[in-house]
Amino acid sequence: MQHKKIGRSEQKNQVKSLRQKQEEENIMVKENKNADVTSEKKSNRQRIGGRAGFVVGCVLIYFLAVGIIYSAVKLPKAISAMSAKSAISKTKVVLYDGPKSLQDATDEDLANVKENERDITLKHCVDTVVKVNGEESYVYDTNVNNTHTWRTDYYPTMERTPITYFDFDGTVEISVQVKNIDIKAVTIRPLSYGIKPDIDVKNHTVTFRINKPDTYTVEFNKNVKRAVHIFANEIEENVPSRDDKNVLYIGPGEWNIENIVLQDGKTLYIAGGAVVHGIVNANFASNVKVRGRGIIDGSQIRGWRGRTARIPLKFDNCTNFSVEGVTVLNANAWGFQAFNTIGGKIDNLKMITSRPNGDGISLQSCKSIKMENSFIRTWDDSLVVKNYDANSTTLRFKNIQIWTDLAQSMEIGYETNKGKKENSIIDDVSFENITVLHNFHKPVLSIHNADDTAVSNISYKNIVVEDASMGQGDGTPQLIDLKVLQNSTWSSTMERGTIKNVTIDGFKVLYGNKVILSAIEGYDEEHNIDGVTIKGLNIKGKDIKSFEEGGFTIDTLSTANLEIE
Amino acid sequence: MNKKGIIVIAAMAALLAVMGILVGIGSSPAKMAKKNLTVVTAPDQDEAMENEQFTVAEYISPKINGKNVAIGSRASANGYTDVYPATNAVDGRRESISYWEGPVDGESILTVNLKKAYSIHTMRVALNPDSIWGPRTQTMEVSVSEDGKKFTELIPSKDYEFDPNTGNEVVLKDFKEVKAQYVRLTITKNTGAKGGQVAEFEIYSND
Repeated sequence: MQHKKIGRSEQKNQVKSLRQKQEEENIMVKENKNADVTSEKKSNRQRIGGRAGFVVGCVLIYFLAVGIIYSAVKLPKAISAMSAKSAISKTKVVLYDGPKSLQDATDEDLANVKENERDITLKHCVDTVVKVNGEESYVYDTNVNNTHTWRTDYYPTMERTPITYFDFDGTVEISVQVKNIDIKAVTIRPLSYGIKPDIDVKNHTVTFRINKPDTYTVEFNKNVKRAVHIFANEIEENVPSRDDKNVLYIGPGEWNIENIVLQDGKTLYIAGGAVVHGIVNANFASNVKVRGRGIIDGSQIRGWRGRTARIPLKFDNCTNFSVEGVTVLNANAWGFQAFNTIGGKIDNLKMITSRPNGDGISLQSCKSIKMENSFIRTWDDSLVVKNYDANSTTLRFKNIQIWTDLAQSMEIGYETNKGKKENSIIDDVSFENITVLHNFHKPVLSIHNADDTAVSNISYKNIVVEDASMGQGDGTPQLIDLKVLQNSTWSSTMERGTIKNVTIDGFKVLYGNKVILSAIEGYDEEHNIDGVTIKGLNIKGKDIKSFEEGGFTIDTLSTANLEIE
Repeated sequence: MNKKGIIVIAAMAALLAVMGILVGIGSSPAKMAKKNLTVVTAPDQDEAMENEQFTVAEYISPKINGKNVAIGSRASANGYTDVYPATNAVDGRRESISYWEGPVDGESILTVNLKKAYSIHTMRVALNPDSIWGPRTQTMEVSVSEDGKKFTELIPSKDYEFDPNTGNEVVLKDFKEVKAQYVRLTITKNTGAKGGQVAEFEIYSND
């Protein structure tokens, strides 16, 4: 290996060279450092505002995230609302102005007093505003009776409640503003629609959407007072012509027509927006019709007090009548009567009664009558079948809402043979898809055979009772009450009758009394109740599988073939 | 803050804006096309009015000479319905429920005993004039007797129109004045009820 010798001067040069290199490196490092600082500065400029910008950015992101989460929560509803809006934009709506002559209801008009202590005439409601797709629908203030005790002097106290009606096809958004109510809770019936409204407490307003023509009832703060009944009709089709000689055409406005008597083949058309103070009557007539969207109002007639009943819709000894679409308010007694009539149809009838003996639909010795898609709120039996003369057969009640302030919701009896006919029968009567919004006083479902009639083949299917509050006032607590009996007030015959083949298929009580009772009692072994089958009885969520479980009182001596499953 | 941060913020802002717009649209009041709205308006009225279709000219019942000798007489019938006995037909009251309604099945026969013989020149059969009764046709005949046993036809069977717009009454004078104590009204058909109906059976005499 050879080592090269290095001289002193060379060493100096090497050192000098190293120093220079070191200095150069130092300069380069310095330059590099300067370059890094410049780069950092440049980078800081890119981050906008440096550290402060970073903080601001974080805050922004935080608020944006909160906003997005909030919007995300709201979005499904908004999308649903947009979908509804799209449907609403295509919806057809018909609104009806009320008569300009109707007076605004004052606080005095709303007082809970007897009919002889205040003006009970139909009024324009001003404390409740109903809008349909943002357009105001005229609201009437009509009488209702929230008491549940019979008055022998015929003077119970009455209040008022708002009602409105319109026609539509599609989807509508309804807002109800109740200026004098602080809204804490809202119930919209029938509950089966599952409507959960938006509540604007500040503006005393609830808003909800519907897409099916029906009656909707809005109750506030779990109280029936000032419940708003909304009659949402289908759009009318085939409106009769004013020029048709067989048509009696009553246009919008307020009209005093004491009696309208329909003769063979005549149609009475009461247009939406019309209020007729009077009654409609047909006797020994065939093919008569009453239709329209207007109101037949009896508020100007004094209560009958057991003397002169002015029945708003009466079809005696007729064949083939029809009633469609009208509203009946303030009858001075009961609201509808068909007597000894064969063939008839009632569709989309809305009725509220409030005075004594204010039964709803009273079918007396009728055959082949069909009633459907209606709303009946009454201060006596809502739907009632009796024999006053001939036999009753083939009667159908379907898709009906009932609100019974007094007496029974669906009653057969007590007068089952007032005409004292031989071999009297009531046969083949059915109630299907009936929703009882409230039943405060007496049984919901009842057969009271107080004469010598043979009652047979009575069926009840899909009955829903939203509020089974029987027994209030001077009422009785039974939910179901089937009896053959003698009654000092109502029996006309000396002999007693029978009840045979009763079917209850689907009967649901959603809410109601803590203890719910029922009864099945014949008169004796001969005048008995033979064949009662109950399926699908559910009381407040509990399936009832035995009569004992259902709180039934059963007279074993006067009943036979009773089944519950 | 770097570019990525800005992009994230911008994306979030855009997303929020879109969501906000959607929520805003969803929360705004529902509107329908005006063309789909029909409002049926009401006429100008200060008070409830009578409807011309249902107003009728005032009807004045014709005045008949002589005296209605049926009032206070004895009326009987071959039957009656519900709470409407024969005596209601000669009590001078047409209103309310004061009328006779014959039996549901077969003829309705009302016989009036005037207590003494009168020369009779006109008769009137009246129903309740209330419009609630509605028009109806009754097929009627009249016979008379002096002894209440043997009756002679005075007016043969014929259809008569009863209309509340014209008083719901029928005047019978197409016969020769006749002297009789007993007057019998027989109704064989009524388009307004199962039995014959008479609120007042007026029998006029100048005696």
